Amino acid sequence: MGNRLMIVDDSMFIWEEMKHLLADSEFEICGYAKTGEEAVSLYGELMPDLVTMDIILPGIDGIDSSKLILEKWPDAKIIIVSSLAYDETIEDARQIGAYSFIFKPFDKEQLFGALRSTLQGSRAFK
Amino acid sequence: MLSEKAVMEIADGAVCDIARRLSGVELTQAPSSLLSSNEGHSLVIHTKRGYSLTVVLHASNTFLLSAAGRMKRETVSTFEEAAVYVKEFFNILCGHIVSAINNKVHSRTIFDMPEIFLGAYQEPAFPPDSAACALNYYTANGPLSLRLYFDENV
Repeated sequence: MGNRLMIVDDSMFIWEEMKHLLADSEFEICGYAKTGEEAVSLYGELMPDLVTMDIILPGIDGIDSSKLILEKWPDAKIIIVSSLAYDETIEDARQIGAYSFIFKPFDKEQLFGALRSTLQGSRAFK
Repeated sequence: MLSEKAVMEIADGAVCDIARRLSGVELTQAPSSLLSSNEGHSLVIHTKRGYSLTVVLHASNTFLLSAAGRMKRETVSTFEEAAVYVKEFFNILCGHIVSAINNKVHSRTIFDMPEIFLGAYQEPAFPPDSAACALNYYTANGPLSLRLYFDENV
């Protein structure tokens, strides 16, 4: 069985893109949430190895959703995936305990780099 | 506060980069819009929690269907089918524009979900002290134009 990844993004495009890039790899997509609220509840059901989290979501945003997940499950490995990549957001991601930040649009190398290093427990933020 | 020129340079850099990476086309600037008001579709985003900025992308259906097809990796023939990809294209573009502005003016501004309109977007009256800039392009897949309306906090 591969490493289980939960995707949180309101865009079907990101889910399709990750499905395409991760095909035949050591990662398998085990769940997909379109809202922050759904992400928190689905995380508890699935207990995935990794989560990719968008920031702009309907309802609670990705930073607050990550905070809620990390309060309940401090070992959660969350990677923020967003096009909103300004200094303060990156700092927010670091402060809440996210492992890494991928800028949209991303390529295969960037995605695998972040997934593999996060899985090994390595934080991109120092 | 950024000058109109600085905002235009940010927007121009972002739209050229995102169009190249997501839709695989090079943009060439045009002196004025090559689209009539009833052509294509418009996507609109408003910012929140910070400065006021409205970004409007008006593009031909050929450009939007082709960008959606490239993102989906298969032919997309209707705009209804293209909408999810086109919205993400615009979300990513606006993310790059807003992030670059935020870094320059030290703001935490974010934006709402995009709205889609048939043809040109009929802008509401913006406050008299707001500024606007327009960028027009042609591409191998049809024309597009980008307009930004922003307040003095940008």
